[in-house]
Amino acid sequence: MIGKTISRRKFLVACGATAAVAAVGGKLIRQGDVVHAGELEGITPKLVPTVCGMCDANCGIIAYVNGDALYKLEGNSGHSHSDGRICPRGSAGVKLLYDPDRLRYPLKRVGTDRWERISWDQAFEEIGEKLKQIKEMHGPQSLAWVRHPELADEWDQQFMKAFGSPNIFSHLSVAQSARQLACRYTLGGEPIMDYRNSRYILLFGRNHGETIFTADLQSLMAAKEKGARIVSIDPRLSNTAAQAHEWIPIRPGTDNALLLAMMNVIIREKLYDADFVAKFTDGFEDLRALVADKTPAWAARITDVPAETTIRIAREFAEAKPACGVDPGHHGPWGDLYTNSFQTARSALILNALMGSYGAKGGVALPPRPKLGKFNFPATPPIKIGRADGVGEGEFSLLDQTVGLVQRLPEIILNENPYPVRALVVNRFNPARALPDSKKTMAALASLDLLVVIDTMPSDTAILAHYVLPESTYLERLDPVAVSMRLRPEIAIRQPIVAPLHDTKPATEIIAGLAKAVGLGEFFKFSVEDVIRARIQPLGLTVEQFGQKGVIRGDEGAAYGVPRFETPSGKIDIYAERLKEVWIDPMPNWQPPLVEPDGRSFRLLQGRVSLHTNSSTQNNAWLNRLKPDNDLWINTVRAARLGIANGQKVRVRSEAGEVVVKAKVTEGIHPSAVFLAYGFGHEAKMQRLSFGKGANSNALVVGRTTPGSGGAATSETIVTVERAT
Amino acid sequence: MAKYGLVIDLTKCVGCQACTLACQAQNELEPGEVWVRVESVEEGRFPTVSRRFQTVQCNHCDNPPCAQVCPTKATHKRRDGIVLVDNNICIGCKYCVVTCPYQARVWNEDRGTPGGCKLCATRVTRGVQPACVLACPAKARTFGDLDDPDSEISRLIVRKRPIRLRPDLGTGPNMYYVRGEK
Repeated sequence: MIGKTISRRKFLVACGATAAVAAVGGKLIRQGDVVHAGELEGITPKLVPTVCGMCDANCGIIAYVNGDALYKLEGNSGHSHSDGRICPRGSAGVKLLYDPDRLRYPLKRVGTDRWERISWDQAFEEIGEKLKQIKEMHGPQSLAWVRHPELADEWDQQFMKAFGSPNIFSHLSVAQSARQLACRYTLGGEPIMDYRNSRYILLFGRNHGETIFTADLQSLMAAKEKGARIVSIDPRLSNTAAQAHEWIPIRPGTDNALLLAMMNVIIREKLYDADFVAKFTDGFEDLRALVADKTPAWAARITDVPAETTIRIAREFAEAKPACGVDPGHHGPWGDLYTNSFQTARSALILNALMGSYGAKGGVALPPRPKLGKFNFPATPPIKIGRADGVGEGEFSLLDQTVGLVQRLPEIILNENPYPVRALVVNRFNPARALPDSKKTMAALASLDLLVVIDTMPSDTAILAHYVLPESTYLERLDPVAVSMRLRPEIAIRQPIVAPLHDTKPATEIIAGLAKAVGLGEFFKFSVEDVIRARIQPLGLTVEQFGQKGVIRGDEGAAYGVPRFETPSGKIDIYAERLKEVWIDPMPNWQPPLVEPDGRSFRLLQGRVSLHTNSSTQNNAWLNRLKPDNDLWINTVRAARLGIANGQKVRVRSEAGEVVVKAKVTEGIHPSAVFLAYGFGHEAKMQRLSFGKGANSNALVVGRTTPGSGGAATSETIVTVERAT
Repeated sequence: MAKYGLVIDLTKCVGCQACTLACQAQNELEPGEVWVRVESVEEGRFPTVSRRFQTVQCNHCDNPPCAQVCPTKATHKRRDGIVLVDNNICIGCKYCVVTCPYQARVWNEDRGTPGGCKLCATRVTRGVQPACVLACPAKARTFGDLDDPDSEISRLIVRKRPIRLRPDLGTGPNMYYVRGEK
């Protein structure tokens, strides 16, 4: 119904008695149990369903359009990522669209901080010419491409395949590649949690209050209301930990020791689901042997969690089985924070298996996928040369070749090792703020023969570029199908709410334009509509009908029942033989974090705040005023010893760099760690609101690559803190 | 006649400020103009620490001090309980801003008049929930008619025994907060 303005009469027929109250003037739209309506006096906004793009959660939203202007955005209650709700960043999407500092037309850099407006034709022609020259001199592999994968990611991949370069990278190895790899080699898929029906939820570093996936936060709080117990294991009292029943401030990087000790209790006391374990797991006897000496007392010495706490939560957790789970996503200790993150993730997935919670109501599910058609992209010739970061062979042979190890890119560029990478295209990503060791990263970016940035805002990476190509925002473009990752099969469409305000293009058109300019137009003879049409073909819908509906959903409950595990054994691989190929222990054994602070230093932790998405929203007028900068969380006792008072400026140093930032002296953090939210400290003057505010946490992070799993282990960074005055 | 109010379940609030932003979007507010604010307070010593959130906006009081001090009756209370400012007759004296014990009146320098939560009056009269209620990703907010004993909000008040902010001042606030033990 959404998307069409329907007549008042029809609305009354559709909604019965409630509508008599609801439909006093103007038009109202009902979706599920929620009624949406505009408020402007005398104006009836058109309501259009679309998909949010303020972060990569892809929540279904409803845009209120007044003539040719966007008035506001609300959550779409017919979409399972938003469930009718909208987070603060989602609401602030209006201010992205109308940001006066947005990139408005193609730019060519003609000096330091000096830019010239050029036409799209000139931009494509000049970039195409340079790419052809670089390809001729150094081979196709000398072009790298970095992107934050979007709905239109197939365009990025198609370009690199057509160009003949293997060097495409995503952000995932600085985010959650350890977790993804663990899921693939343990379960064969990435699970989600059915919070709403759960009775016991263990959140290891998971922070719904600040990362905000609106449907998950709702379900979590609904479960709390129904009596579920929520336990947060986190070195920091996050806003989510603040609403848990219990906060366990674990020593950072030691989560696997706690998980192994919980399994020790659960196996010793026979609290596991023996039937599920026998039917659906492989390697249980190895696990029994592994955890035999991983007692709660052993773990207490490592984790700072008292043995009796471990025993109690292990028993309580098992009591709730199978409606319980260790939250299996997203970042946290099994993202890419530590060199042991991979095995920590494996342990968490295995603990859930001991509870028999896979496919159980209130347990852990593998999201059911809708059955969609396939679009056959024009075939490209095979790529003969290996990746510059080594992914695909040796110790990195298990990693995804469309992801790569982006944190290695700066040293590859600077050292021309194993071969020169002289050109880089960056799409919807900001390596200058998102990668470890900003100093080195920015030096590498500045040394390139060609840097092209595709973005909506003049980021810290954009200011280093030779060409900046402005992308239309998510409110001005059509994107390929958004497939949901929750409990029911579901798809949604992101469609233009308003015509582009400036001389911008969707990334799909930009990429196709670049391809044509380098003589690869034959590989891009298709449109976004063609791809959508092919994918929704089995549903018997036209693209227009899909646009009117906004969301197409299947039955809830498709996620229940033990899923098929696409692993070598066809079961949950507790013992994962293939890991031996890359010299990883096939069992999730304890391994201490790589570095450990002493009494004079701290471990650096990073994370999100609710009002910002990484480094992309700091210039948003509403969000900027509410959260202009970040501060360094430091434990009260440690701060007192260093003579640091709340709000005072401190200098933070690591082997990679240093920053000066305000201190937030708090009881809510483990004494061995400090915390700095990422994404701040912008150096791009063109972002007038965010310029110079806060500190860039990645200036401190030491660049690393974990053997085997490839994660950047960003929290394996030691810092010292002192008063800056 | 209805008497509108909110129950805000602070045992669900994670302080994300979705309410603040939804209000800014709904009312097209200036950056920094905050009609629904979120405060937090940390208590205890490591490792036994808690953080509590408190949201504050116009309480649409039964006896609104802002309306009592308003020299031109620009601030007025509607029959459904909603307290509004009529910008056409406001003279910008700021009496309401200093009088409100909840600091819920927000001065707008450009317009020269005060603003504050309107309980989305034009939405709720059409049966649409206030923007902050519909946005909250924790579903912590419930809007309804406090005079109707069968309304969800009235039943919540009976069941969860929420508190109000400084009812001892005699303002008769209509925002109810569930604070729970944890």
